[in-house]
Amino acid sequence: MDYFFGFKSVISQPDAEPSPADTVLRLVERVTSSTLLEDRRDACRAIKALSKKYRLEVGAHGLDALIAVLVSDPDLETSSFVLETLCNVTSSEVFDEEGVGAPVGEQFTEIFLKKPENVISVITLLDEYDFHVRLPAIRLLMNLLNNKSKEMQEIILACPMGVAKLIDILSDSRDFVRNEALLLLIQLTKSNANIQNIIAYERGFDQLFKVVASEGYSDGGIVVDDSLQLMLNLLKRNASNQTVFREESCMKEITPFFRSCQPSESDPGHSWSTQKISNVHSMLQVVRTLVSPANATQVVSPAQKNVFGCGLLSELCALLMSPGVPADILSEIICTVGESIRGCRRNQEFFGQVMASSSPPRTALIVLLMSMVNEKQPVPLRAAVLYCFECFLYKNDVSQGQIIQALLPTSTEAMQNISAGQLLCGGLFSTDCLSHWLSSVALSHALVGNSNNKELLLRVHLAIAKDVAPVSLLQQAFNILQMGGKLQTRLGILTLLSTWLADSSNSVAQFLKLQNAIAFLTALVASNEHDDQEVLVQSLCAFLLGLCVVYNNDSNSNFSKESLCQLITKRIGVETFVDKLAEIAKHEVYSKALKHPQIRINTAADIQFDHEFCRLYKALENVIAKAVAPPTSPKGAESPSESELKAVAKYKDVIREQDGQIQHLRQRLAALEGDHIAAQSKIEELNVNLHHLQDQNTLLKAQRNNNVIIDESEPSSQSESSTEKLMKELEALRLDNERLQGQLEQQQSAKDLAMPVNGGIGLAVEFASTQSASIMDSFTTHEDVQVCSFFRPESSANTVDLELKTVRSRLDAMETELAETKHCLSVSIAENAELKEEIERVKKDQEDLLVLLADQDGKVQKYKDRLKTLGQTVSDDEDDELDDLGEDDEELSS
Amino acid sequence: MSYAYLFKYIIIGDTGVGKSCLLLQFTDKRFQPVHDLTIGVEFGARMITIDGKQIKLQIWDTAGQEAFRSITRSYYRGAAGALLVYDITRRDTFNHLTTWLEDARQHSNSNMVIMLIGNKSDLESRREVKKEEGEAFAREHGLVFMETSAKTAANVEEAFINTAREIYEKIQEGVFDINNEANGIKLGPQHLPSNANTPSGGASASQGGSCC
Ligand SMILES: Nc1nc2c(ncn2[C@@H]2O[C@H](COP(=O)(O)OP(=O)(O)OP(=O)(O)O)[C@@H](O)[C@H]2O)c(=O)[nH]1
Ligand SMILES: [Mg+2]
Repeated sequence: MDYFFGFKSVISQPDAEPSPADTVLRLVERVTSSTLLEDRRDACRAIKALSKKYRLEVGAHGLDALIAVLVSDPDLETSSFVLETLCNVTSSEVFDEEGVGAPVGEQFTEIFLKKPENVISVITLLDEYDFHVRLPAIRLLMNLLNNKSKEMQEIILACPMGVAKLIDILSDSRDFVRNEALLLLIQLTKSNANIQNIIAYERGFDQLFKVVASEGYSDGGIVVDDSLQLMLNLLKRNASNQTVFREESCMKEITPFFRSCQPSESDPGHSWSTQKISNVHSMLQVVRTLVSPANATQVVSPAQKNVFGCGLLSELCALLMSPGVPADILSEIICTVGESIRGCRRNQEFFGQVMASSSPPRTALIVLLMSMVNEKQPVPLRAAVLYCFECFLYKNDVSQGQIIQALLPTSTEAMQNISAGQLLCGGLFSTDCLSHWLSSVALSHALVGNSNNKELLLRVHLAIAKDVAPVSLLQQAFNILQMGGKLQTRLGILTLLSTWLADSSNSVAQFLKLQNAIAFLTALVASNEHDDQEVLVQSLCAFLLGLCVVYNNDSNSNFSKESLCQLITKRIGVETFVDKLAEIAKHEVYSKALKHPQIRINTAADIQFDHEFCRLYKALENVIAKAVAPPTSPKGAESPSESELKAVAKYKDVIREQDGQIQHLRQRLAALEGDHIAAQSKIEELNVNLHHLQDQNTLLKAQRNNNVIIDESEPSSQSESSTEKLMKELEALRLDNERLQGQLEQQQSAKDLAMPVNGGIGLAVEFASTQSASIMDSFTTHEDVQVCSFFRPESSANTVDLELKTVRSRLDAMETELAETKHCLSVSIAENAELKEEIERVKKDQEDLLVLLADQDGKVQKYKDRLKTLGQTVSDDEDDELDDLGEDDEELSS
Repeated sequence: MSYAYLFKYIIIGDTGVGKSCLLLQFTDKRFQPVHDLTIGVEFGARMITIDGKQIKLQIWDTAGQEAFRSITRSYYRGAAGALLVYDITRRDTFNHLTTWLEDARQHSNSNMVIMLIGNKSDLESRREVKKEEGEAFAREHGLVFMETSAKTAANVEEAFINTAREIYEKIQEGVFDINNEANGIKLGPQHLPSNANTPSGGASASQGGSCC
C-alpha cells in the first residue's frame, strides 16, 4: 500500500517543480551520457544529495548507472559520491528525511549483489588511500554484509585477495578508518571458518594484539572490545585457528593485558568503568575459548601449559586476590583460572600454592572456599568457586588426598590452620541450603575416581556440639538427609553419598550398618508423591539404593545383594524402581550438566546437577536396572551381556536422537507450511494491488482517449507527436501488465505444485515416527525378553544377538526413512524459496510499473497543460483525475 | 621454544595427491591410509634446524578440490614456500601442474620458493609419470624437484627441509625482505632487531646479517 501513497504524492506534485523521479531521471541521464567529466561528477554529487530523501527513486532509476560508474575506474571525487550514494541506498536504517517508508535497503542490496563484480569493484576501491573513498567503501561493504551476510561472505571469499585487502586496512594509521574495518571484519567472520582461517593466516592475531596494546589494554576504549570480539570470532569452535594462536605465541600478549587491570599505585580505590568491565570480560572469554573443557584434549593441554608458561596464570591469580575487581568479573576470572588448571597437574599445583594477602596468611583456595560457603556472597560467584575447586581436583589424586587427609584425627596440621575439608564440612552444617549443596558436591569431588579417599573418609568423625560424642561423617550426612530439609540440601547430600558408595564396597557396607538407612530409602522410592522436586529426590534415592545392590559385598547378611533385590521387588516393584531411577535423566538440567562441567546457577533456588555425578549416573543406570532384576543365580546374572546391554543402550540413544530429529523436522515442516501460507497471502495482496493498477491504467486510458479527441479537433504537430509517445508508453504499460499477470499465473501454478509435496512430507514424517515408535516398542519387548532370559542363561546370548540384529536392521530402515524425510523437506524448502523469488520478482515489476505510471501521469498533465497553452479548454469531466491545480488553471484561462 | 626464523609454507596440488598425508608424515610421523578430504585448510607446525639455526615451519595444507580453489588462492600471498604436489600414479594431476603454477605465480610473492613433488613413489607398479618428466618440468619452470612417499616417509623430511634451505639461502643473499612479515618470513624472538637494517633489495648489505 505504501506504493500508492508514493504514487499519490507524485501526482499531487505542484507542476512548477518536476517530480523527484523526474529529477533523478534527468541526473541519471547526465551521469550516463554526458561527455564532460565535470558534468558527470556534478550529477553524481547531486544524486548523492538526493539519495537519502528520495532513496527509492535513486535506487530504482540510478542503481545501474551508479554501478557502471563504479566499475569504470572513476576519479576520486566521483568514487566518493557514488560510494556514499550506494551507502545510503543500501542502508538498513530508515532516514529521517525519508519519512515513513518500507525499508528497501535489503532489496537494493540484492540487486547490487546480483553481479559479484560489483562487490569486487568496491573492494578494489579500498586500495585508494584517501579516506573519502576508503571509508564509504568500507561502510558500503558493511551495509551489504548486514543485509545479505551469507552471500557477501561467499563473494568476498571468491574474490582474489578479498579478505587480505580487508585485513590490510587494520594497519591503517588513521584510527577512524581502522575501527571501521574492525567492525566490518567482525561481521565478515561470523560463523564462516574459511574466512576465519584466512584472517589468522594473514597474521590477524598479531594485528589485533597491536591494536589492543596501542589502545592501552584493558583501559582502552570500545576499540579494544571490538578487537577482542573479532579475536573471539576467529577462535570459537575453530581448532585450527586455536593452534595457530598457540604457534604464534599469542598467549604471551594476553599477560600484559591483565597486568593492566591491577589497581594503580596512585589511585588504588578507583572503580572500573563499564568499558573496562566489558574489555576484561571479552579477554577472559578469549582465554576460556582456548582452554575450554569443550575443546579436544590435544588442544586444551598445550594451551594450558601456555597459560602457565607465559605468566598468564599467575597474573590471573594475582587479579583474583586484588581488591576492587567487580563481582561478575571476579566470577569470570575464577572460572577462567579453573579451566586453565583443569586436569593439568603443574597448573593445579601452582594454584594450590597461591597465597592471599590476608592475615593470618591463607591460600587463595581457602579464601575462595570461605566465600563459597558464605551466604552473603553473590550466587554466581559461589558457583564459580565450586567450579574452580572441581577443576583443581580434576585428575589430581594428590590434592584430593590432601583435602581428605586434613580431616583425619591424626592430622596435626589441621589443628592450626583451617583446611579446605573443614570448611566444606562446616558448610554441610550451616543453615544455608545452597551451602549444603555446594559443600556436598565439592566434597564429592575429593572422592571422584579415588577409592582410597572413599575409605579414608569413612574414618572421619565430627563433633557438632561440645558435649556430644563425635559421629562419623557418613552418619551425619545420612542424618541430614533424614531430616528432610530443602531440595538443594537433599540433592547435595545424595550426590555426595552416591559418589562415596559407587565402586566402594566398604563404604556400602558401612552405609548399610546405619540404622534405618535402607528403610528410609525404600520408603522414599516407594512413596507416591508426584511433586516435581520430590520425584527428583526419589530418583536419586533409587540410584543410591541401586548402588547398595551393585557394590554389595554380602558382608551384611541382613542386606545382602539378594535380600536387597527382594526388598525392592516386594516393597517398590522392579518396574516402579526402574521408572523412578530414570527420572533424573528426564530433567532439563541433566543433559546440560552432562555436556559441560561448569555449574551455572544464578539464584539459590536454581537446580543444577553436578557434571561428574551425571557421568556416574549415566555409566551406572543400566547396571543398576539390570542388577535389581528378579533374583537369578548370581553367576548367570553376570555372564550374559554387560556389553550387549551397553549396545542396546547405545541404540536406544540413537533412537532417542532420531526421535528428536523427527520432532525437529516436524517443526521445520510446520514452519514451512506457515511460510507457504504467508506466501499465498502475499500473492493475494499482490493480486489486489494489480487490480488497483489496472483500474488506474484504465482511468489513464480514458483520459488519453479524451485528449485524443481534443487533438483531432485542433491538430497541432507538437501535441500529435506527444500523443503518439503517450500511446506508445501506454501500450508498453499494458504489455507490462500482461507480463505481470502471466507471472502471477505462473506463480500460482508453482504454488499448486508445491502443495502436494508438502502433503507428502507430512506423510513421510508420520511414517518415520510410527516407525520409530515401533522400534521403541521392540526395545521394550527386547528388554523383557532379556529379563526373562536370565532364567535361561545358556540361550540368552544367542537371543540377544538375534534381537540386536533385528534392532540394527530396523534402525537402518529408520535411518533411510529419515534421509527420505530430509530430502522431501529440502525439496519443499527449495519450492518455497522459488515461490519467494517469484514474489520478489513480481514486486520488482510492480515497482517498475508504478514508476511508469507516475511518469505517465506527469506526462498527461504536461500534455494537458500544453493543450491549454494552445488555447484548448479542458472541461472538468474530462479530467476528474486532475487536482485543484487544474481547476485553478481553468479559472485563469476563462 | 624460540626460533631464529619462522617460515610459512603452503601445500598445493590436485585433490587426492597426498598433501595432507605429507604434512601428517612430516609433523606426526604417521600415515593416514584413508582419504580424509580437506575442507578449507589444515594447519601444522614443526621445528627444524638449518646451519645450526632453529627454524619454525608453519604449514598450511590447502584443499585440492576445484570447489575450494578461490579459498586456496587466498593463501598464496604471505607464503615463503610452496610444495606443489602431483601423484605419480595419476597423469592428470601432472597435467594440471601448469594451471597450478600459473595460479601460484599470479597471486604469490615473486620470491616464493616452489618445490615440485611427485608423491606416492612407493607405488612404482602403478606409475604413470616418469621421474624424468617431473625433472624436466621442474627445470623448465625453475623449480626444485623431488619424488616422495608419504606412506614410507621416503624424502618427506628432505622435501620440507630443502625448501627451507632454499628460503634460508635467499635470505642470506638478501633477496627476501625479512622485515616484511607479509612475505611469509618472521624473525624469531631471539633475533633482536640489531640486523633490521636491510630494506628489500639491499643484497650486499645483508650478508652476515644474522649474527646470533
Ligand atoms: N600409497 C600411497 N598412498 C598415499 C600416499 N600419499 C597419500 N596417499 C593416499 O592418497 C589418498 C589421498 O591423500 P590425502 O593426503 O588425503 O590427499 P590430499 O592431497 O590432501 O587431498 P585433498 O585434501 O582433497 O586436497 C589417501 O588415501 C592416502 O592414503 C603415498 O605416498 N603412498
Ligand atoms: Mg587434504
